[in-house]
Amino acid sequence: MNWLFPAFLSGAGLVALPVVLHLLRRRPQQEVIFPSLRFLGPEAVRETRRHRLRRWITLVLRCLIIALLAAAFARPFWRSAALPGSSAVVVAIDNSYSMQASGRWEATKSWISGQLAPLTSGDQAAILLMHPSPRWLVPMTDNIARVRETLADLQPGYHATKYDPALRFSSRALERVAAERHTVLWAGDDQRLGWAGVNFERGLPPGVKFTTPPPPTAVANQAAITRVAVGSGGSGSTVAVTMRLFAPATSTRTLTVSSAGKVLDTRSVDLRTDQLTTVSVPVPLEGLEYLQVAMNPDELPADDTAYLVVKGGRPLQVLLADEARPQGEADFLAHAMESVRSPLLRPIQASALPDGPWPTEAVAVLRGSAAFQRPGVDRLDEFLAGGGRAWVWVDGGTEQVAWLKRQGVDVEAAGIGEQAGHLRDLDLEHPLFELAGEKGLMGLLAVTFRSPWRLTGADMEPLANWEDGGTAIASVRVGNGAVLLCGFGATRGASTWPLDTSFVPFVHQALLSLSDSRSRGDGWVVGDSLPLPPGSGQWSALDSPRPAEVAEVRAAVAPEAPGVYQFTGAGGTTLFAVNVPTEESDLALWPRPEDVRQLESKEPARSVKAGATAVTPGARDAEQRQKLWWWVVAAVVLFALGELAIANRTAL
Amino acid sequence: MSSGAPPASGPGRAAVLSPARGDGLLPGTSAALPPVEPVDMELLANLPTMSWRARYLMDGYLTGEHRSPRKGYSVEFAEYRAYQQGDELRRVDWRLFGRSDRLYLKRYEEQTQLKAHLVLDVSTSMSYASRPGILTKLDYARMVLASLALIMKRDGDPFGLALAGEGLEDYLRPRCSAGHLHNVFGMLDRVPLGRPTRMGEALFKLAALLNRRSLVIIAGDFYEEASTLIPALRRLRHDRHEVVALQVLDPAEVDFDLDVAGRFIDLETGVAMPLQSTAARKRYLEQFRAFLAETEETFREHGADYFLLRTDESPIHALAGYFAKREAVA
Repeated sequence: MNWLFPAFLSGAGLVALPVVLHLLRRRPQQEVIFPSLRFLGPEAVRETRRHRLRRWITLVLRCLIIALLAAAFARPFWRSAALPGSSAVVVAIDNSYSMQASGRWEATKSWISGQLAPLTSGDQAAILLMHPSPRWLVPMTDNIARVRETLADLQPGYHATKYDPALRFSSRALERVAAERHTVLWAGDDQRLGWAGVNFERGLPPGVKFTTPPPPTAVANQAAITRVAVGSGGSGSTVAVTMRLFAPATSTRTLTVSSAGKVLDTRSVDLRTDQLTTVSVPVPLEGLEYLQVAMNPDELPADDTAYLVVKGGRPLQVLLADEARPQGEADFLAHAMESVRSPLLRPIQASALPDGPWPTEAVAVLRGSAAFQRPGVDRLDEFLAGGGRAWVWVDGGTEQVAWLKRQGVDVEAAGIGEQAGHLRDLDLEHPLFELAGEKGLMGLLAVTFRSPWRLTGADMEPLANWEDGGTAIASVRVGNGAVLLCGFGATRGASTWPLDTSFVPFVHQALLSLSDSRSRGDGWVVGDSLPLPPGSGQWSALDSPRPAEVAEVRAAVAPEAPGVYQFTGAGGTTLFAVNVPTEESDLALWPRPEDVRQLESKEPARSVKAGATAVTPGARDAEQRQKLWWWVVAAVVLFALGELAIANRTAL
Repeated sequence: MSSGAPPASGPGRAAVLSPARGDGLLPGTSAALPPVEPVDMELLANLPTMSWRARYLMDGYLTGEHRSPRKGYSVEFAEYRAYQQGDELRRVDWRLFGRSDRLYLKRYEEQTQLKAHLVLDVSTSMSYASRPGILTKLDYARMVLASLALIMKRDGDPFGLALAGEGLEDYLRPRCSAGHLHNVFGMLDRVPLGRPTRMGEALFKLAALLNRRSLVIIAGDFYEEASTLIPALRRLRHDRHEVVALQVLDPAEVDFDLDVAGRFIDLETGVAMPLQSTAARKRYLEQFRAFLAETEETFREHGADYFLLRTDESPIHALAGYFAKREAVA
């Protein structure tokens, strides 16, 4: 007999209670003088014997009731005894997209089938999917046919590889199965990425055999699109496509940009091994909702296509602090935010700082002193602590400087003397400068900033410097949020920049880079849980290699395949671009196969302990099928009725 | 409240002598039992001797409304009549002559002198008391009979005493003197114990000794077959004697509310029986109540009065019952 929750068996100790009460109530035998026993007779003696018997029976019934109740709560079940020669097998399936590399999936399935072929009646098997986290596709069962059928219909996935969780999960589950042989069939491709982080010193439990298929053949032709982003070129919008070639050493690939099946651009791209190649493809984005960027497929086609949402993302909410300006001067910053008309960029909804708590999904643009005085500064601190992002235009205000000092940033006037400040040493890799383009960057460098401010701080990340080397633009983490610092103002008094053509794109890009890029609708990968707008709505795939059926969803959804998805709810339609995790494109094998071999323990198997805690899917499955607890409860009820009937006649 | 008291039934129904039960009427009459003062049974049990208890009991009874015990029995004044030639001069009420100058004679009711015979059951079973603080049945019965003797002495009624065991163990003829009272008390004090019961035989022998109409008051537990009493009761009835049965029982016998397990030993026979009292109670009560009913029925059918006395309850009503009976007989 096995128990699903053996801890409840300790309740059987309460059996002592009726026993103690029974013993306490027992009176010692004594001699009782009575005038006449003529009214008692042999019948009374018989009654006395029956009474004694009833008391014992009542005691036994009470003990049984308590013991059986404890047993019912412990949920008993019969585990198949370990038959001589019986096997228990867990087939751990690597459902990452590297398994889509040519021939791997079929070869692996074929190998698994061969390993399962000897299993017969009395053996048990299970199928475990490794990614995104281990889960049973088929719990441990003696129905081997079901395992084979499920395997035959199984398709590879689009996840990234991580072996350790599935490795430990499968071996622990096998430990509790009653069988002579315990085997993990590791249906993976031995990818380096998967084994990274595994502690090979910590072997599998004793007796668990670890079987891997033969190493896959090397892929001869593999490249991947690692990133796509929209940008602005000389005369319009562009799509920047970053690619990486893994094999062969060089390759020319055909890059196609399309949208809703309509090809917008096609070109050849030369790639070199282990070198990122970025191509800017001019694409007119007017009227487009999303883009699909694809290379001609190679031996791993899953990473040869990427998706990008152009329109239909959620508006970017901006909290814009007010500032004092010379009379008649326009608010260039506000105008820059309002000037978003191009479908290239997300619409920006700018509003004043609210009186109450600031929504953390917004970007706060802070200038002037109001935001750094109470109560604004308290809300700012709360906002950043909650993960909000802010953009501070440094103007040297007392409250502003004091607040920055509390965040570890010191502000001082850039000692440039009478010379105006110019920016240099821009960190062009940073998304802040993504939209600028070459012309835009040149324009920014030519801007003369009057009253520049130098930023210093140990935890700052400098993004641009002044001519004297002091930091002009920096980003710093505050609480759970982040702050972009510009050591200059956005007014005409601070510089001529607001009049430059680079001003508006810079403002937009800064806001976009500060906002959570995922809230834009892109930046998601397979395995992520996508937060949906409030309310329920319909979820459907606009473009995907493995589209799922339209479904009614709410709160969040985790797509199993890449593509462009649409959520239509009461608030409108939101598009999401989901791509494959690009790290999975590297198909390099784990360099030390001996590490994997040493996972298997040299110690003999331990016998499955009777009554061991076995809340494994197999144990749960067996318990739910057998439902022994129901019979135990029925017995309790019967015994309770019997106890009632007999106890009433014992007059205890 | 005793649960073993037999229900009232039949023409000569038993008067219930517990204050909490019955209609309080004298059997065969519509006269109410006289009210009596409550008796402290615990105090009674703690009194050192039987005579003390008897006197305490009697005082308790007499402090009630029955204040004037009968004084003398010989005559009862009825009326005056005028003197006639030939009347005895000693019967003239000279005081009245002194006041009225006329000669009148007192005319008296003719009195009946009723002899009472007190019979005490001295069988072994009478020595039982279920718990400290209450009297044994024997002590209780002796106390009741002693109290009756005291009352009879005061009333001038002759009284005798018989001890009934295997047969008629001992017998004192009825007299009414202080010395006789002393003898009766002495005999009650020296009751021999340890004999089985043959009440029927004892009563039959007693009946043979009675030469005129008498009142026979029997105190005992009557633990024998009722049929054995019948010949004696018939004889007594035939001889026109009045019989009063006082069945004295311990509350444990009546209620059987013991909660013990062990070897039960019969006082009379010495037979032992392993029992659990709670298991045997139902059966016991069925049998015991049947026995009480049969006993009462037997006495009643033969014209006797029957009273059930519990040793944990005041016996004063037994005394009241005697007086009522005495009035009825007279």
